[in-house]
Amino acid sequence: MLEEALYTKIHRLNQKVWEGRVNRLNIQMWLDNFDGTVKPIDAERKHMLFLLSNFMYFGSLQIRELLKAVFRDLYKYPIVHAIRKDNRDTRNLALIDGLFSGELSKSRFLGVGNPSESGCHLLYHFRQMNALPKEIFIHAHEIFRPKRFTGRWVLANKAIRRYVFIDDFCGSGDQVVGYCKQIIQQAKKQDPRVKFFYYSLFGCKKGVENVARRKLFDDVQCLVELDETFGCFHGMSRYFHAAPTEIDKGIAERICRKYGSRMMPGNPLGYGDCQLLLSFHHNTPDNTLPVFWWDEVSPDWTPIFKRYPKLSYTSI
Amino acid sequence: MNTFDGNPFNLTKANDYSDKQILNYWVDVPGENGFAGMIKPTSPMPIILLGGKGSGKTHLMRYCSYEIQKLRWPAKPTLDSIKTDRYLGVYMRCEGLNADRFNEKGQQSEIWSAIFEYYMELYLAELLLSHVDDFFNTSDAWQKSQTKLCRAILALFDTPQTANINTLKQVIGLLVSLRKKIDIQVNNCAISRRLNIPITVTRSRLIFGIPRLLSELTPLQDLQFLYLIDELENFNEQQQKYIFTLVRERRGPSSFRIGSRLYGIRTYSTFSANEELKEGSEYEKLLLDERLRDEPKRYSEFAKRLLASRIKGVSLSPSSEDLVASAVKSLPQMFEERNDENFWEAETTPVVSKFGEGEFPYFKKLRQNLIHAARAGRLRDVHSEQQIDRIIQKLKVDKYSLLEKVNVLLLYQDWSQNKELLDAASTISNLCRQFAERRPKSGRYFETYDHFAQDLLAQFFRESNQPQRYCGIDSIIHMSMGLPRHLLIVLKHIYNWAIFNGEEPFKSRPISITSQQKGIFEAAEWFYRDAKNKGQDGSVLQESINRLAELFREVRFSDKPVECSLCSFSVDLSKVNTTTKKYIDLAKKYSLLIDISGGQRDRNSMRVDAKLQLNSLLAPLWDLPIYRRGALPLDPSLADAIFDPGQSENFKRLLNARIVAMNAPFEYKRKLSRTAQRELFTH
Amino acid sequence: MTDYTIFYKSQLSVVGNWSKENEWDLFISAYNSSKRVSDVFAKVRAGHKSWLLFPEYNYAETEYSGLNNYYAGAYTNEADYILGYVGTLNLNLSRIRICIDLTGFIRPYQLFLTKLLWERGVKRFDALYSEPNVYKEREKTKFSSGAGGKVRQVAGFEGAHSANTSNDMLIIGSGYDDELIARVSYYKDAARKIQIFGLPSLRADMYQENELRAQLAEESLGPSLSYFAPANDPFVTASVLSEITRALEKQKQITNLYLSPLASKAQVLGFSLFHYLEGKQRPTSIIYPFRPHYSRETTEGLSRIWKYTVEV
Repeated sequence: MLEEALYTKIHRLNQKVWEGRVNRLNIQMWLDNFDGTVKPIDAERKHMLFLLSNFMYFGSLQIRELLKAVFRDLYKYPIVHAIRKDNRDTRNLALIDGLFSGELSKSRFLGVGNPSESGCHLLYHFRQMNALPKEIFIHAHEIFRPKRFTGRWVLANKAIRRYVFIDDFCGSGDQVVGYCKQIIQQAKKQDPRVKFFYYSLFGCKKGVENVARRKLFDDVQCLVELDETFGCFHGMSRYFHAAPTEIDKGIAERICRKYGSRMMPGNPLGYGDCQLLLSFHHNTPDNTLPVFWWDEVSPDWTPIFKRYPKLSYTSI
Repeated sequence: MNTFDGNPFNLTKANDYSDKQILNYWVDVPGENGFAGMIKPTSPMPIILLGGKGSGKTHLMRYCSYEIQKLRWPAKPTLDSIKTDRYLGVYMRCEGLNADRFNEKGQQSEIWSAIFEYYMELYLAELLLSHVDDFFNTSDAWQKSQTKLCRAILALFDTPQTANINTLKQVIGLLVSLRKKIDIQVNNCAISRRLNIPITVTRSRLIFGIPRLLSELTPLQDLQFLYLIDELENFNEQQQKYIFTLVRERRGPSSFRIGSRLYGIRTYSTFSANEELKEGSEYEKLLLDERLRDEPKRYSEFAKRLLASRIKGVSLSPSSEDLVASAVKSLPQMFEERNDENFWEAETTPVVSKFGEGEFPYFKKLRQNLIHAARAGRLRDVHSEQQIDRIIQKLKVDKYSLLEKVNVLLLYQDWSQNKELLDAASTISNLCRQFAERRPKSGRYFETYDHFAQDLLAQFFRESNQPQRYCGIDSIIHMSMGLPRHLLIVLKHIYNWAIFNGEEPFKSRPISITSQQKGIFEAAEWFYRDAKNKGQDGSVLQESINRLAELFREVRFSDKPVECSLCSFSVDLSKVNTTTKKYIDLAKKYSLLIDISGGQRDRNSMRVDAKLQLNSLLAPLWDLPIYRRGALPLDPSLADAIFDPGQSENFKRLLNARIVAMNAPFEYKRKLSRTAQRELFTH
Repeated sequence: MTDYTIFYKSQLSVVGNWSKENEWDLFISAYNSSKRVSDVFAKVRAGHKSWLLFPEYNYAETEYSGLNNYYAGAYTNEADYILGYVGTLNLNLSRIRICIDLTGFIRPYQLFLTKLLWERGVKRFDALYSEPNVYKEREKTKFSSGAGGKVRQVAGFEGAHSANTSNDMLIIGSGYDDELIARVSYYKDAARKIQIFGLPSLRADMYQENELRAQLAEESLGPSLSYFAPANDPFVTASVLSEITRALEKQKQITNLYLSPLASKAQVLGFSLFHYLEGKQRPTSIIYPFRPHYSRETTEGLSRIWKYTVEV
């Protein structure tokens, strides 16, 4: 029976990857949300169970690993590459490390959004995982300082050559552009040599391209890219590539759209119409289908992967 | 919090355990001196331990190793410590030699054989002396100068060893260095294509010579030096031949315990003119899981103690005995069981209620079968739907669906014998009423119920799209079929499912049937899937087992099954082809099929056929029974179609021919009977 | 101590021509039916381009006889095959610019080829690896098949092992093929297992799929530790191997170390690099579960092409 096969897959995912976040009870409570509005109850729940079995979840171990990878592969490597090229392909580790340390001391790392947001929260673990000194982490407002007597805002430390924004997820890219645009424009006006970087653990391809297109940052990258095939109901969706015959993409979409429209009328399939099946240990992005995470008073809904889990931030 | 990590059954393999854990979690089999009575470490007779994967073979051999002997002794052992044991166990795993590298690379096989034998000589000698040196260093057994002993060991070499060696440590150093030289040469040979290794000692001089010297020149007298060579399946045929030659040439205070998977022995021959080792006089064979299966009570007791010690997280000792004993006693209550009262009413009623006013599937099917047969004029006394209604009405039983199933079966039996069905239905109805009221222990109705109740219950669940019920501690133990590892794997999965289903296993309430079923099914899937990893022919084996199981399933779920609780078969092996024999043999070796000792006498000819059962752990994959009763005789062509991939295209046809007589309208049987009658009249 | 992460790696464009620094004297690729392999072969500019036909892909002669410069030796082991191929080249390998497309290689051949290059004095060569868009059946993709085959050390990567096996370790680069993981795990049943998973994975969902597949081999693995290395980075992979062994040896000396790279070809390169540079620090071998057949094509699309410059 398909349902039992799906439960078995979810059970295995739960053991290995999902940190034991779900069990049959809370799955059943979540499935109980689907009351046959679009299709008969059994059909609705079967389709949703199928989507759940394709859900992607990254636990704390995996998030920490990706934070290591951001530093190592996106930030550090290009600098090391340049150092080697500038020094005749040297493999002298002492020389490379020394020059790199110099570059690191002239870099500053920041989060995107206000300190309570999940992107900022990750900075603590980013620092920990990469054994970095506290001093190179700042808030956005610390890029500038008021100039004495004039009160004009100037770059606080002219020695800093790189400002690196670290984010957990880039959906449409609007948030990061909105947050950083003025900062970057102001800073570059004062010193065009200063570089800005935006590195995200996860990103929707179109969102990352959106950010890159604005030409605010000198480099925009994400570690784990989600192209349109990760859009659940996209024409090229990878989730229905080899789906069982009982599962119909169109039906699944109608179900999610109908229930989702009660939650986010303008974005029934997730913000920016991203239609994702994605959650992290510390949060679920609102670009994920709302039927998975909606946890507000109205409409009343039991989520399966909450958007704001009631876990302390130290639990990561 | 992820409580899967708290699963007390996470460690399922001997090799997952440290030496300390092997000792601490050791559970012996009750009676007859336990496992020691099977492996007999002090007996000079070599023993070959064969067992399926998970039979406990490695566990047992490691338990006899010096590393674990040492843990059993006091922190500072004395000579008495080892003398009480009366043996010193030298444990090695064949995979540690990475023996496949002694092959090809542009060299001839004879050269590789010689190098391998030399390497083994050094390897075993190194292991033995390491243990002896460790024992002398940690005990007060022998504080004297080791020079004489070392000189005597060096004298065993053909080539004089000129190094200044006075201690065992130095001898060990020499052995390590000789072995390393071989490693470097062998490893580089892939690229260099050159090999130049002088053999410095004749075969078995060190392996048997050192124990003799130890018993002559040190206090280690009256002691058996036991070479425990495990995982022999990792050696090729030539290398195994060498080991068995050592067994044959065994002398002095040395003996062997050789461990291998059932499928792992490629040859029993030796270098003595290719003669095979003689069982009984040169070695004994211990088929470990077979031995445990043959003593189900003993195995069950062992299994329960094993589980209890895991659940309680204690090692077995006098102080924990009460705790473990009480856990053993309460084991059955920790698992929800089926309720068999009143003809399994509690199992069937909840399912029945889902049908509401609709006709149950078995009556629907009976109705359809009767309608078709009646329209074709095949029934003696049934010609109308009203008559069919009357028949079905007579077969109905209030509350007891299982008895309805029995009634339907009896009707099918009567139909296949061409009886008048209206009368038959009345008779069945009366018998049923009497059975339900008086519960007799004899008679046709009782016999049918007694034989087929479980099969009919299985049919009932299948017809109502319900999962089969596999549950209860006794069933779980039985399904492990003498392989303790299978038992642990099943329990591991059950525990994980129980957690997933929101239960608290082994705490307050029993583990639900649902969790047990899911766990058992997952273990079954693992075992079936694991068949592919069984080296050669794994996929072919899988497909053969699939065909066999399909046959059993077709019989079990037919209208009129000819055997009850069917999960075994018999076949005359002298009539099947060699490929079939080969795959049956392989299936036995991989424990996919279990040889049921004794064979089965064919009712007609008195010849003894091989009788084999599908491993019970696989049963859930095809909704088959786990306890065997009847065995299906297979004719050779059907056996070939099942086991020989070259004949498998005949399988469907032969399967259909075999089961046609078990399904309405039972035409085949009647045709046969009419043909037989015609033949009677013409002769 | 080696810091592998300083080695050069870059992305080459999927469309358009490559710069002059991406031209070689000898280019070696393994033929299979993946479009990404043939596309890359067509793009590469080299003095001499070779196709290697491995017997495990079961190509009939009619299927490859139209290729230019192919080698289809009928040897039974990786050492003989690669030595046979290299014997046909009339080149001083240590003096020319070499590039290997790892994508279509069967792992033992790739391993032995790299070892041979190093033994023949090649100090620097380039390796390419192209990433797919998706594995055809996702977590149900079938890679290898067939009866027969055994687990053994890969030629050129055999160590001098200790008779003391009390703290043996097996580090597995766990890929999608759970059968391979199970077979190698059973072979070194007594060794403690460490799995390296590809994270970041080639595509976002591949990590989870990888874990699902590897879980099927759970019984053979026993309790195992998990580490991570990017699926497309051989240098970080080598670095992680170094990190693992150092971390484990802080607790207790490893008696014998076995490595089994069963994941992406990029990671396989990392394993071979680690073995070459650090394999002598302790008894270390690379072992592999050989199979008689491999699927010719299990992926769709081409998303990125990586170039790694291997320097020893």
